Amino acid sequence: MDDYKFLFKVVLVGNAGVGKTCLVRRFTQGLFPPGQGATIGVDFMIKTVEVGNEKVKLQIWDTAGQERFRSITQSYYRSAHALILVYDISCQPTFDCLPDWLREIEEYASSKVLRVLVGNKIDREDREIPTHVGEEFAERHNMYFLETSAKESDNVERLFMQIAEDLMKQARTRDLPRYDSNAQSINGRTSTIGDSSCCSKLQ
Amino acid sequence: MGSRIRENVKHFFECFCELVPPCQDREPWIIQQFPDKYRDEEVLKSVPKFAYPCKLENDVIEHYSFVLTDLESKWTFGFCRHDPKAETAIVVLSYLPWHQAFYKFLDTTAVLMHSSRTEDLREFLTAVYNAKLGEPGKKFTVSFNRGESTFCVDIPRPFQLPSIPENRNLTEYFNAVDAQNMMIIFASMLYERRIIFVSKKLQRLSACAQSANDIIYPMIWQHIFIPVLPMSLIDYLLAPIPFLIGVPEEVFKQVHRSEIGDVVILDADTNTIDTPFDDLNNLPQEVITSLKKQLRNKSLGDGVSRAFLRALVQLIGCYRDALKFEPGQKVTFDQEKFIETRPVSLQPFLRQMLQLQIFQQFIEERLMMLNTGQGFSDEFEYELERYTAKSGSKLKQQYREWTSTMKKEGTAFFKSVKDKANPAMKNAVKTVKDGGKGMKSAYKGLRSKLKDNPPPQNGMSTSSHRSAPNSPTGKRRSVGASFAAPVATYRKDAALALRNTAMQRSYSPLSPSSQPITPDILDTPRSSSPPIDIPRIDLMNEMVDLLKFSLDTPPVDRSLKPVRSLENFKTAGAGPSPLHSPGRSLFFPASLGNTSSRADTETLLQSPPEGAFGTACATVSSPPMVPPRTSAPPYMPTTTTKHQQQALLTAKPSFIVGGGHSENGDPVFYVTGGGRGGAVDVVKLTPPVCSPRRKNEETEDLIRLDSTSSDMDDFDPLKSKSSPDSTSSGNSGHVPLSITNPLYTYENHNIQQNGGTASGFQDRCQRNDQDLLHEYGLDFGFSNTNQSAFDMFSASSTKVNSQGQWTKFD
Repeated sequence: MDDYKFLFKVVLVGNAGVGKTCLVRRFTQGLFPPGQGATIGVDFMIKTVEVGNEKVKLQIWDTAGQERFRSITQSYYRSAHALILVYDISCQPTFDCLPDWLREIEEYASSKVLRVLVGNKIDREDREIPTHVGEEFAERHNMYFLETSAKESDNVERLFMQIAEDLMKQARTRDLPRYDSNAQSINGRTSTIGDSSCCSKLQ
Repeated sequence: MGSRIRENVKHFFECFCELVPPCQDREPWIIQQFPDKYRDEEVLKSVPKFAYPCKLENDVIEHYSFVLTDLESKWTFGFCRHDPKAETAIVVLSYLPWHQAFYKFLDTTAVLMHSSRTEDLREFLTAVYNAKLGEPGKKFTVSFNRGESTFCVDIPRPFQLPSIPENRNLTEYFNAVDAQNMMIIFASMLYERRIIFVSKKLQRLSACAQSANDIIYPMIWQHIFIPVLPMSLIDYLLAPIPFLIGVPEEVFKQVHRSEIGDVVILDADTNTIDTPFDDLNNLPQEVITSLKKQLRNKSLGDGVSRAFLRALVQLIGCYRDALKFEPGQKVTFDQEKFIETRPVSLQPFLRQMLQLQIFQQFIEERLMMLNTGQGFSDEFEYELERYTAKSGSKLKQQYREWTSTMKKEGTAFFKSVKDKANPAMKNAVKTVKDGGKGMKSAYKGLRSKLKDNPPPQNGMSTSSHRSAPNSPTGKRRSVGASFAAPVATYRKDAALALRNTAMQRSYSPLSPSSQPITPDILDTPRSSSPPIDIPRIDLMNEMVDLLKFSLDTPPVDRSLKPVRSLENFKTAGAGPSPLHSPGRSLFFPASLGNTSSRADTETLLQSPPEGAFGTACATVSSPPMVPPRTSAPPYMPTTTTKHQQQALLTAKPSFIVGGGHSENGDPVFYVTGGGRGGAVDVVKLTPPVCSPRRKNEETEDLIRLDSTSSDMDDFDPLKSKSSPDSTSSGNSGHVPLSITNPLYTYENHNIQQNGGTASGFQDRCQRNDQDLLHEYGLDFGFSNTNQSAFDMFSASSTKVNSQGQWTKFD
């Protein structure tokens, strides 16, 4: 297991079928671990990236079955550093739901949590949401915006790198959201704990 | 819906697997499975991980369960059996959370794996797989071993609270963790913390996790739920979202505490909790106080579950006050009102509550029930009504009005009811039935046992009442005496071929010459019958089993009237209530405390009239067993109740201390007369005559309306509710020691009906039934005269529309 200086937890939200899982899998290229989403109900990927000269580990959490919740409450956002809100550019309803998602995020998530809006599936021919519409929405709500194609791998890398960079900036200024009293000491030291391959290291 | 249990399950199990443990650098793997057509690769890939989550050191047979969550967040349960003497582990996957049933299934399977006839295992699995699942509260019965043995388990009722010792999970949890720590975990779950259970024993781990979830009923844990975490998934402990994860100690050793962040850790082996939160003390004090008190007083039966249920009633039962009924619109929930209507002391907690996923799902589910016309119909609602009688009635009035408006307007609000292929009527009636069942489960002390164990029909079940199959440790004993002597070598069914020959080579024990495996059957006490052998008596369990056994058959058939036994009771008895008329009352009149009852008992036992058998045994053995359940009949004055309860607690009743079988298979009971120096009398009993039961055709249709009488039975608890005499039910000031027993009213009612005597009492009963339906918003307009309408309905459902009253749902 790599050493790393920062560990960030990223949580994906969005309607069913917008390609959240594909997005993450594309980014991590099935590195680790192989998706357990179908048996644990939560998919969880780790990727270590380098920002500047620092190693940053991203944990990306993708909860299956979110759609059964009319709304997602605070416990969901409680300890995430970044939220990625995904819609499908070829499916208007997934875009129409964004205000609902945002309302919950505003209500329950820390105001410091990094928010990113992602329009996925730009490989599709039947686009329904023009890019500028997504952009405007993001701007209005003070979010980052990016369009991606998990299928073609477009912008996927860039998306997560961007998140890593931003979170690191925040971490350096100690401006990360803190929910728990002593969890997530982000600006920790580099650690070199043995190489038990199934245990990721924080701090 | 918040439920994470699948509905409309077709098969008892989805897949049965046998697994080889890991050795050296090889991962565990599945060497055979049934049925072969089960091809969910994701699941099959995961099973070995969960079957061998870490290095195991068990010197006794261990059962535990694990949970897989699919993309819809529905759960699949894996039940696992590790026998230290076996070379392999067996796992059965199912959508049904029936722990007791599946452990029994695994035990039966384990025996068959050593059967001399190699086809036995496959035949058994096929039979069980193809068998149709019946109605809740009934039995799931499959015969196998060429018809010589029967596999029989209970189908749990909806809303049934887990009770001790029947529910293995709760029993284990209760034994491992003291009340204080249970409350802390309960509170932490209400705050949706990240929670870890740690234990050396997988059995304890999974039982505790499952029970912790059971205890927050009517809410359901909506987050990551992994009762047993395999080493390979250890990273899930870093999840930023709430979880409840059982971590084997082996795995936990690999975890660096500092990495996990703020987490609640329960060590179930040492009964210690490590938490950075103060969740318990953040719950409203009055709730904690009464919860503590109740947990101190009650442990047997569903006392523990009910104590927590009551706490939740106190905490969130007020959701009803925040419901908005507006004609023509769906019922909605007003968050502000939810908080404002409560005392200031509760408000901070309730505000917190509103933000919880489990609470939101709970509200969603309640609204769905209301908006589909199901009304208030589960155990939580009944408990709530017991807690506050007045708000319940006011609300139901509102709901009734709302429902009737909806029906008049013919809107599509009940469309989800209608959509279901058939007749709103069916659903509605079923709902009321279910409601009745839920209510009834409050009294399950005696009643749920009625259908528990079948009378001995064959070798398989003869052992069932001798030991304690439902006790936490005794579950491994469903082994039939009728099985062929186990063979010493490990045989493989040829039909279930090994997946590849390389495995076969690497796994030598599979060859016939391998080391003998001591079959399971030898581990457990054999149940071949010496004429009268007093088993190692675990008195409590023994009596539970006796109770189950003895109560099994007769009460199902209501046509058998235990007239004689009743007469006996009457002469012995106290029953000052004129309404306590002949019927198979499960309540034992005050004669229980009489020392004279030994003689009565003996008389009863020696010459039981058909059908009275169960009654006799029940009345003799149940009161010392489960005092809270021998509650007062609704039509008895409360004073009598108290008196009787005192009598129950203080007197030394005669009761059965043991049981067994004589060589010809007749049950034998040992009866001790309490006041007589503990002398033990041996009483022989002839087995009860099994009343003919309708079988398959009844399970075809879940809502047979032609069995009117038994359907009416289900209404009964409600009826007792509305009875003016049931004074104890609405008592919110203190927690009633017991709850009213609906069985009386029903029995009376039913028997009188059968007898064809139209008395004023009967009329009243029927009126009550109607009132209840009214009360629950389900007015079908049937009365005395059109009871036959039910028959018509069941005979041909197409007639529904011709029945004017029933088209209201359309």
